[in-house]
Amino acid sequence: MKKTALKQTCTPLLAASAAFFYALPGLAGVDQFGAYGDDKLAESPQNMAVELRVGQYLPDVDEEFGGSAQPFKDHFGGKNRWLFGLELDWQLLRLPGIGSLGPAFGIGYTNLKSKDYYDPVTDPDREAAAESSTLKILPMYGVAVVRIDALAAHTPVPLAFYGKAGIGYGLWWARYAESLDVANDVKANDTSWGTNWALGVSLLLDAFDHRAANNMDASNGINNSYFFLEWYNSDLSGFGHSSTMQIGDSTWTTGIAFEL
Amino acid sequence: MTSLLPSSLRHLSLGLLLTVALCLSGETARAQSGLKPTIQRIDTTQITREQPLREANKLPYWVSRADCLADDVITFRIQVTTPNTDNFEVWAGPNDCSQTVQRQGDQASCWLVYSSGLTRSPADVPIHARDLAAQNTPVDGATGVAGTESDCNTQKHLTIGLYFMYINDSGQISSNVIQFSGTGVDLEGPPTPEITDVLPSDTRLIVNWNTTNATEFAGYRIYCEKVASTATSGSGLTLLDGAVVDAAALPDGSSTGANPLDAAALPIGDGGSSLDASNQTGDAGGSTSNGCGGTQLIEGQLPSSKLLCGEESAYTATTGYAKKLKNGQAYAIGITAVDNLGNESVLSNVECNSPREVYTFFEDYRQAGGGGGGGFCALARPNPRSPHDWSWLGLLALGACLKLRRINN
Repeated sequence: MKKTALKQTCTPLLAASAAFFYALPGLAGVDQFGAYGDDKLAESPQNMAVELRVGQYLPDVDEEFGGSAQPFKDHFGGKNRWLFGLELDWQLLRLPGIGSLGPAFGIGYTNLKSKDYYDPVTDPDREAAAESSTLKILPMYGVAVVRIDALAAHTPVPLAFYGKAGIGYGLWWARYAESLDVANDVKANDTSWGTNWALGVSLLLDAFDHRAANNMDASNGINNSYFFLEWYNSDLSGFGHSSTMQIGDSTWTTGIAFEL
Repeated sequence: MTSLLPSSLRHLSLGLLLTVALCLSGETARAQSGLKPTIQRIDTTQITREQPLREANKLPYWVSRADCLADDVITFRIQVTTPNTDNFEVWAGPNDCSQTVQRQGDQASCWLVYSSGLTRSPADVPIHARDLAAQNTPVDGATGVAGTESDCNTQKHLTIGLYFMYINDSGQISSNVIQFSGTGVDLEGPPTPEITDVLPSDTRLIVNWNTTNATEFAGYRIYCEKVASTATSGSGLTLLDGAVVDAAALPDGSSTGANPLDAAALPIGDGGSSLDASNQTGDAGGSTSNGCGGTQLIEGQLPSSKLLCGEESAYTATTGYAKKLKNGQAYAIGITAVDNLGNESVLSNVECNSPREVYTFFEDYRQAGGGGGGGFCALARPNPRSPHDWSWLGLLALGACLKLRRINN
């Protein structure tokens, strides 16, 4: 008797609860199990992008001499070095379904170890010195960035394209014997100005795991994440000025980008 | 007679006599009551030394070899309640010197480092570093025997305590005993490092060595001595192994003989070392050659601080630099290890080489006509006629972006 009464009371309550929760897909949120709810409603505002960059780098220092000398190659060889960088983009203008446009600032760092010599450059058999000097470069740039993500937004192809153009600026300094190197009373540190432009393609990683992408957005505000490949030209030759060391390079770089 | 005095004066005289009598009786009573002197705990802020006090983490109240050689004196400011005329003594030892057996007899391990009357408080009690190092136990003399310079040249590492006490005529302790345990004697340097090679660099030499694995360690010191050399073209200098120093052979005309090194050419001078040439245990400065033609740096001896030309403080370091040397000049190089008290090991093996000019990237770059360099503030002016001047592109893009955003909103 009691069992029947309980069943009669509980059945409608359970049914009502199930119907209520079933009707809740629009109330997006996130809990310890991840994001839930409608994808559209879960998406957070998007204003910027962050790029973590790594690529090979070999500054075109010898370009300054037009083939008459190659001090850079003599000391550093022709092997590329690694340059690590960070770029912050402000997506000032969002064109939904098309892309974004805005300014960006990037900075990188590379350190090159020189092979130095006991003998002058005129000696054909230069003896390598026991101690090396180093050349450190901190390239920076301020560019305008156009990102076109229409293809990724409207088709199954998860690719976006972008272009960057602006000015480049770099700091460099050479050290020897635990201090700044000096040659004929000239200190081995300086700055270089120039241009910077780049073309790249990004692979939208969200396409491979929508659920993980939703979780990242709901919990961290990361709208999209990309793997990118970029070719860039950094011409830091002082806009043609003769007293500037060309520390720029034309090279490939890759990395991960997050739109926030 | 007293009756002739006015009554007021009589009363005053009686009062004075009574006061004097009371005072005398009080002193006698106090002396007869046997009040023991009470020595107060040692206040470390009141300890002074003739030698500079080391930092707190470098055993400031210990005695190093340099302290001993300098005949340093550690002075304690002692506070005593009711001091008396018994003898005030300070005993040093590794064991409890308040025990009579540790101060007297064949088994005694403590030694007397101070003995004098102390009837006023506060009072300064000077303890001589050499007396601490000497370990002259009562077997050597019950009243204590002063340490000498020769006591500084023994190899010794000893943690000791100082015991402050009054001793009466019968040789018994007549006060409380205060122990000060923050001291010791360390006359030993760390193990001697071994130089593996000395390589030339620009106005300096790169010195590589094997680490000493010392348990107590503060750094390494590098010593340089100018030696004679003959120049050879191309590869630099050939050293005269074992040759007698020849003034004419020195390119800068340095004086030779007892002190062939030009001390003024060495930047560090004698500031770092605690030892002086006159205190060397060996026969430095004599006719012994160090294998590079020099006579000042001899393996196994203590070098003169005047020859110091480099230091390295990292425990794990195996490389250091002899700095601010002259290119083309040959130098004999030796190193020592130093502990926290400044005790140095004896000199390592002696190697020789000459600093050489090094052509770095920047030097070759400038020599080739490169225009870069001169400081971060030496900004280059852009050439207005340059065909590569595209800086306006960035500004244009930013302006367009702002405009479009305004239209969108």
